[in-house]
Amino acid sequence: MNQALPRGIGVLFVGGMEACWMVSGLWLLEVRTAPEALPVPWLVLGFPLAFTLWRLTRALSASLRLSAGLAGGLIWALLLIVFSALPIDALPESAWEVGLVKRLLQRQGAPNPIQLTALAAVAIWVGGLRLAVVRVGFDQLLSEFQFGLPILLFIFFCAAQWDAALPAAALVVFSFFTFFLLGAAAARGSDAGGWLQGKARVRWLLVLVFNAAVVLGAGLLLTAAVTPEALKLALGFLETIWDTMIEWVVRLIAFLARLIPQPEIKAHPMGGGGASAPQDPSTIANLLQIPDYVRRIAGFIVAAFWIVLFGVCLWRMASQIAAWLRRHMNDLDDAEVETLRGAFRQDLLRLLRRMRRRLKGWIAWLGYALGRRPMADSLPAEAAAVRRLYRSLLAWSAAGGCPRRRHQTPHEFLGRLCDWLPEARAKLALITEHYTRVRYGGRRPDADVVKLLESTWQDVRQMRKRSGRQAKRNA
Amino acid sequence: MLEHGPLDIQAAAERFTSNVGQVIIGRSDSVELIFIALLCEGHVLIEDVPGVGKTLLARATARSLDGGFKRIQCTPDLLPSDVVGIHFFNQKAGEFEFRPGPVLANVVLVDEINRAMPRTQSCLLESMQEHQVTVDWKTVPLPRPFILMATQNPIELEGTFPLPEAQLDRFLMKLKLGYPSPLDELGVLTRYQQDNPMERLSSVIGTAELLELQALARSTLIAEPVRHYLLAVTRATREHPDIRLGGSTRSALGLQAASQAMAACRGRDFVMPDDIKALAVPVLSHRIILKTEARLKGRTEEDLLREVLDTVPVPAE
Repeated sequence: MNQALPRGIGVLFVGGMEACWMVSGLWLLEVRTAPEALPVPWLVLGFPLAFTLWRLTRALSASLRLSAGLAGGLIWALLLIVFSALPIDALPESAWEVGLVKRLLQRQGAPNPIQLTALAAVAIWVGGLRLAVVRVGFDQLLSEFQFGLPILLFIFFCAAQWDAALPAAALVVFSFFTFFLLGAAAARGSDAGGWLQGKARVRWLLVLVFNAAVVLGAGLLLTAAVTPEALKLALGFLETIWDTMIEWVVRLIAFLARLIPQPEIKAHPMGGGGASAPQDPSTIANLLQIPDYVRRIAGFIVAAFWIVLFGVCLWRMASQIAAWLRRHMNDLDDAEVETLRGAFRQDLLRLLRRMRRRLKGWIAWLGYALGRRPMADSLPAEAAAVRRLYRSLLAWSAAGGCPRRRHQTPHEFLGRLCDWLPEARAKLALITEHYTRVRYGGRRPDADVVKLLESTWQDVRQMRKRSGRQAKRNA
Repeated sequence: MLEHGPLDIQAAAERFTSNVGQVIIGRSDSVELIFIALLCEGHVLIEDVPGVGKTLLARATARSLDGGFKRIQCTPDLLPSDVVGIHFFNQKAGEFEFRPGPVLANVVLVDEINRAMPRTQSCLLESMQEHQVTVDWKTVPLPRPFILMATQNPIELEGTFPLPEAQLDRFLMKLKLGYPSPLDELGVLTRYQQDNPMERLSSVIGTAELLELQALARSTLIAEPVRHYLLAVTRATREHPDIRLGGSTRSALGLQAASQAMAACRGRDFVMPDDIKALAVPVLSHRIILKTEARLKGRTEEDLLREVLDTVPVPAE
């Protein structure tokens, strides 16, 4: 299911969800390590700034754009360090630069606020850049939710364990779910027959706004009404009712007991010689007392149990909502619908595989840089180019909703590709044919063939763009 | 790597297919598999209901080859000596002479093999695997190429003796023909209306040429990732929860040889995972044994093999 959301709306929802756990994480970091020393709002501001910078530099070449993005992040981190983290007034003018560098490079003990600010600023900036390049669709929204929710739960769990009071935790959770649910609704609405595209979109948008207003209003009313005094009053009322009920039950039992004749108590001939000696009350109390460490462990287990239970409930609800959405989107002709069962596992495995690939790449690069062994295997450059091209084709088609299954051969996948993009049948067949020759036949293609394949690949992408535009016009 | 080999094999495959196609209509895939078995010098078991052309296919194959052809019609009273031959006392010469049995031919058709007793069935084991027979402590090599084509009927099981696993494993592939499509069946009726085209069938491939083609087919490249894929498929049959006995090492060897031959028949000098997928069912289906629970659920060897093929990752980017 890869319905692309309208760009602005989709980015808003995905970015909103990411911002929620980023803010929580920063607050936790601040409370735990450097109270009131991290400029949290300014740090979070780096997220939209990075996104905007990347979008504004779209006219530049890829390398220039990357350089601009990284330079922007460094400048932003430096600005934050200089203007927020460092108390400039406390140092003489000539010494503050030196002090700044010293504190930034300090290596002993726990990280200081300047280092934390620098790290957080860079990380958030990278997050903003990532948001700018990510293709926002329903699948991305779902992945963000799947990964964002455990991150949030982990942050709250840590906060609970460290007795750290996070400000506005409820608001963060509420915002996180709101972003996801509204994003899911928008994804549903952005298909060809959806309400975001249909004639009645104004009416639907009004209904949506009204619903959001009702939920927010009700929430505000509840938070205003539920004060400690009101709670005390309600609890006092319940206590009175409970006491009255108990009193009536006791009276009833006493009345019934009076109706039954009492047996006569005869004195024991031995005079109570077998009675045990009364124990010291403090001994019994000591026996009943639970050691402190047991209580701590038990408390931890109970807390973990409730958190897990809460997480499972949330996950189950989210799965049900997503399943419902997917079922309804199944009606679309051109939608790629996957079963939700195991989707989280699949995402996680994909992430781990990607991380493994990256790690392997870095290790290979390091080996190459250190001159210990050649960077890639002994593939000729032309063969490597063809394989790279086919890899791009796979990634591109997967992003467009036509992924290759692991058990499909290139020719089997070609059939699927041709169904997906019939007008490029011949070109896709050409790419597949040359790829199989390289991959399984050990062939080394000519440079001309590589050029031909690259131009064919560009043509295929253009065809897809054209057909997408045509489909939108027809819709 | 041979540059012209695959082309020659492809031409020979086309000659063979079109020749056999004169009598067997609408079975080009089965005929291609038979030619692949010939290229591997592998034995073929054809199993299907009566009257769908099993024996005809085997006879047409034998006719298309320029070699010796013998037919053994199996019955419960068939003895091993009827198959491999006997030593008899020649009174004129005053010595024992060897009279070869029908198994000493290039192409041997063993019709309704499951009607022969296990004793007779097992006398074929040596000839199938080692291309020789031993009679009265004397070993006689079989002519090359040697291809045994057996047929059996899966529904009339009374008075039959199911083939043991050891013997099944010696067949390179098992084919099921099935009923032809209405159009093909109409073609059969038209072609056989006046005469039997089998009588006009001539040989198109000589035995010497076939031996050369076999050597060429064996030189088809099978890249390491494809070989690993082949092994993964075979091993997956051993680990499937519904399979009691998976594919043997011999089956992996057979699958490798058959995929090389298929690639060569299709004009390629390298094997692709598609070849392995196409051949997995005919090469492995008779070599695996299902668990009783799976059989009771109505699952077949073909189903499970397709399931295996749908789980083993193909080496692509």
